[in-house]
Amino acid sequence: MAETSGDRGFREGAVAVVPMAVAVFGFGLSYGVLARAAGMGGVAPVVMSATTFAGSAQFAAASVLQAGGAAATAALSALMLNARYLPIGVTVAPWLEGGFWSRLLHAHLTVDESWVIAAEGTGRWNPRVLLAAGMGLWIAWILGTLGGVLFGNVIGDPARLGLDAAFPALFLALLMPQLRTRERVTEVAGLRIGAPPPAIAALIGAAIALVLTPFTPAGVPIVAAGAACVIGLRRRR
Amino acid sequence: MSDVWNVVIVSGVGTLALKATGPVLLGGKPLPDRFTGVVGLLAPALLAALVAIGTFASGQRLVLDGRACWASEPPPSRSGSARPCCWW
Repeated sequence: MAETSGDRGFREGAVAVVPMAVAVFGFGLSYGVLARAAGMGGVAPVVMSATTFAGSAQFAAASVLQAGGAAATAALSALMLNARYLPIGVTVAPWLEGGFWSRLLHAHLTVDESWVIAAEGTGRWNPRVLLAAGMGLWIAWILGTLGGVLFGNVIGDPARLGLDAAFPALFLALLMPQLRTRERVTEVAGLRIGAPPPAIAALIGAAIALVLTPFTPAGVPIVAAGAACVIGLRRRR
Repeated sequence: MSDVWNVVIVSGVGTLALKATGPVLLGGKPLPDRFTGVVGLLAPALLAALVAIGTFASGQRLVLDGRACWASEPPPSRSGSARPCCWW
């Protein structure tokens, strides 16, 4: 289906991704510093960047581990944040070529940014641009993490520099693009609320987390906040 | 195997499974709209929870300390020695 998936090629994808790759490198630096400070060591964060390759999920896992949460809770938080890649993978699937390994490689390199760059409009995606953009982001994310891990070793305890406040700031930066949506009204329990569904889900999720914090082990409020997504059940009829 | 490596392995394998389900297993078949609508709201719900916990939780306590000022008054105080101006 390559002939119907757009004229752009690998080179165009590689050029288009440069500004985002620079930003992702910086983001990787902060992940490396914070993951090391969260007690993840020096090697595990880099391996996680190469395999999980998803900023929000990796920051969430580090945050839960730092708060003393269980490994299962940290992993579940990461996977719930990455659940969006199931429908995202489905959107690009018809435009991919090749056998099992080629499809697996494209799937691994599909992240929010490469998915956006590879979009050709009207529900089409360009596999060559997806591959180039994904590879650029993957390399930038790993190198950034590596730099952060090494840099984190030099600066020592990040709490001394006030970096403990960096987690919520980073999560807010990751949340804001998620709130952009074409839908302006949310229907919940028969009520029509004049705000986009992701914004309502965010408010409910934050409320669930804060209410549960005094009564549950670290990390559990984060996973429980996922219950807010049930408002999506009545959204599309 | 330490907790950290368990998280790295489960997260890595699980994420690849999520990403590859469409391209490798479904081969272009669409998902039900209701399913997509629900899954799409997981990320904003969890990210908002992480913002709220990271700003207002200290262990199992809710506190209002320097971290709540991260947007306007850098540098914030360290959480370990934060003196709550109120907590409940």
